[in-house]
Amino acid sequence: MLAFIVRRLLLLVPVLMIVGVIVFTLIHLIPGDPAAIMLGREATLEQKEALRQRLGLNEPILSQFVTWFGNALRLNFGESLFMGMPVTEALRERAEPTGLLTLYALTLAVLIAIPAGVFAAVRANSPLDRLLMVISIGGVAIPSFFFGILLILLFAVVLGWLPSGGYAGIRDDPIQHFKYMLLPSLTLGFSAAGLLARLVRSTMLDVLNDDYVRTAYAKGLRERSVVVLHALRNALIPVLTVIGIALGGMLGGAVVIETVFNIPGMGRLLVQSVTRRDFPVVQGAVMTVAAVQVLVMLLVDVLYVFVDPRIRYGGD
Amino acid sequence: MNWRQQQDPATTILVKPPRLGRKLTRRTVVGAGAAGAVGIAAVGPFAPASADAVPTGSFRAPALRGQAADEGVRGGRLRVATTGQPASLDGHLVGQRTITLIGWNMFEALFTFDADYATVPMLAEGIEVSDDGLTNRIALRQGVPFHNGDEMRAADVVASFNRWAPVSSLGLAITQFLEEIVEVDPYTVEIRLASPLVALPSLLARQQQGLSIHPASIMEAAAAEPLADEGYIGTGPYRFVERQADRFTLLSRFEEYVGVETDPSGYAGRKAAYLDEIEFIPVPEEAARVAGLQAGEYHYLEEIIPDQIQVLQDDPNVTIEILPPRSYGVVIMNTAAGLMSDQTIRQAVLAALEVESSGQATHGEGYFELGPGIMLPQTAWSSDVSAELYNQNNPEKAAQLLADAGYDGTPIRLLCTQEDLGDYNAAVVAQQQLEAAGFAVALEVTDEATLDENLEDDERWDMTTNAIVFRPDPVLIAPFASCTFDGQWCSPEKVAVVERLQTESDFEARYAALEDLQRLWYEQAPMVKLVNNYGVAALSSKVQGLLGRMHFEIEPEFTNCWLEES
Repeated sequence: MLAFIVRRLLLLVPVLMIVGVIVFTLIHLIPGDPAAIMLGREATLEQKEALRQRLGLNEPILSQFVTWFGNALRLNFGESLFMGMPVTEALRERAEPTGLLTLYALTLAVLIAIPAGVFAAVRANSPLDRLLMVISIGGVAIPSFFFGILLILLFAVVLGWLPSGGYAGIRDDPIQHFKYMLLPSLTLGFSAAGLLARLVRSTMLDVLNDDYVRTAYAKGLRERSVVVLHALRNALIPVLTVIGIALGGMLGGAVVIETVFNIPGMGRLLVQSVTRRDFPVVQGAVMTVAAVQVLVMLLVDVLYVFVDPRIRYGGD
Repeated sequence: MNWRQQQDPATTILVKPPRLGRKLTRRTVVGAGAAGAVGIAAVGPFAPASADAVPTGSFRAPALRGQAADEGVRGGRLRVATTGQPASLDGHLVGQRTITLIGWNMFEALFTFDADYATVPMLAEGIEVSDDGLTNRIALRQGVPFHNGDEMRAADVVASFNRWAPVSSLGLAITQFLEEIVEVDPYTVEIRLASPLVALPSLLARQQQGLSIHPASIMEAAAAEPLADEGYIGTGPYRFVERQADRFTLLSRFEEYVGVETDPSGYAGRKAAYLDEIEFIPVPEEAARVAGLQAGEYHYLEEIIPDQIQVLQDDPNVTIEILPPRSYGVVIMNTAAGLMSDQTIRQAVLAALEVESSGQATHGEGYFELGPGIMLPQTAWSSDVSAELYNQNNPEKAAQLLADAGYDGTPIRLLCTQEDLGDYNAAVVAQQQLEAAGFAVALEVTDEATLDENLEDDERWDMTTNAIVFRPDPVLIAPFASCTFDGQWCSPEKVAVVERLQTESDFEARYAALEDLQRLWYEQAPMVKLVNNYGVAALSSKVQGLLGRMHFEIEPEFTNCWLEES
């Protein structure tokens, strides 16, 4: 098991190198001059040239790549052109809002999806099943930015219960923090919950038809025990995989949610950095997201062992 | 040296015009620099510029004069939703709208603009100009503290000027004339010029990328590098507290502020800091800004598009005020290369376009007006010259001009970005109208960064859409004063007219030059003027003392305003 984890962690290095090369190439291939964006449209050519020189953007692209890559290997992603601060610091500042948003959304998604999927499977083809599945299709189908704006209109503008956007750190003011995070977490979690609920339902339906479930019923076990202890545990393997993938999707979804709810997280930083051609931040942020995705998938693989003891890795 | 102090009828500045009949050196205006004028006559009631113009709304400009009485309520935090957060608040280096909005609450300039857009002193006591117009002596107000406790002195002004002049477009305009700037005594600086520059005080006034005054130690330490957070020290009524990237910028009242005691008037006069704090929050998403205003989280929006105004119109907690025009749309043509370097083809474009449709598409009914003037109507420079060539809507004439020019149907590359919806809609309407007149038009839509880069290469584009924003004086407008602005309008006739605008001391003579510039605009057709776009202020009903008192064209200052709890 340990060898498996170490092997997977070592795999992170080539993955990140490939991601880094692709991102560097792509971001430098698209047109757009950071100096022009920073100085505004009325800036003179001389001013832009001076800023380009100062930012090191006039260096040959190969030389820029070698410098950046050498630093990236030491986890130094350079300095943001736009914010004038180290990229790692900028990412660290924004990791908390994005990390917590994803965590809350995932928790909400799981808390909604698993009971909904199980109920729908156990009462398959009943009106409850149909209702739950209609809602879950809604979760998948409604664009999250639209759902987010609807929630803002209802809870912030009409009812005035929750703020329409913004962020407070969990350590600074926990109550405000949860007020700010409730609507975005619900928005992000709802769409993931729709997908998960449908998956839980279909895998549960498969499992509920297995022989061992019939045997469990024949032994006289109560329905709750059969469903929760026998069926659900076996249905969780594909669900875990999808949760892992959904987490990656949520990091992508956070880009939209953070913009709608004005949360200063990594997703919004990434979009803004692309718009303002802040190359070092784009590179650093994409590599961070890639690393998180790889680590999450590793975690999912490790969790398989706990969910299904039959699974073994390597020489275990 | 003989000094003569004279009260310019249009300003409160003491000025001495250069000797009449003095032969001026012919000078090409190069760079994006601009020069302004001292004298700007009082503004009358706001009205459409042309008799032919069709106003789509009607209102009068507010008087913009405050009361002397101290009537506001102290306290509270004003929350302003901005469209983004600039890289820094260093207005010397970067000309951006949000920096202008935040910065002038903290910083002050030697001069500013009053309710009538006349240039008046702020940190300066006044200016005296020598008989030959070459020596400009600026006396400073005494006892004005910086936020760090030091008193503002001449050395600080000289250091600020020396840092600002080489890096800002306004400063670059002065350096063409500048011999030196010296500290005469602790409260007097002297700007010595190689030739007279009547516009000097306007160039030194409060505006985007204007000369804000900071302590000499900070200016010398920063040099050409952007100011760090601890360097945001000025003399303004609010002081910098904290800035967190993409989260907020916080200012608080500067209790030791020493301002002028005259009644508030536009950006001039007494500046009472009633608010405890001002927080600028970047909210790039338009819908989020509007929802935040409705929910009471923001008190003022930096920008709102007309579509969203409809959402707010019936909300009793929100005030929407239609303001005098803050810009006008233009279709810019590349006079330097390609098809549009042919004046006849440019005239065909001018003949083909009908601007009211463009106004409807870009701003909607009630938020624009027609008018041929290349200066906005709230200035004394508004003119109807060549009005017959504005809004021609004559595709037959355009087709004839195209035939005369031997146009072979080569597609015209019209560049725009959807990041500015107004510019994009204007481009779409222009494309349809030009195609109806016989042009082949290829609309190329990119993001703004790509657009900016494409516009830098003359070979990559023929036309683009943009807006010319309000300036109180024609030579403060880069496309007029500069030869390097997009499209590179730089004919010898235009350069000569601009030189007259920069150096003539008499307003009538300068106004005649402006009318000549407008004639050239319609004759040489470097751009097509679309419609004047009304400004819109969207603010919470709790904000008192701002509307009707403050200008919004060069962004408002949150002085003399307060929050009233409902």
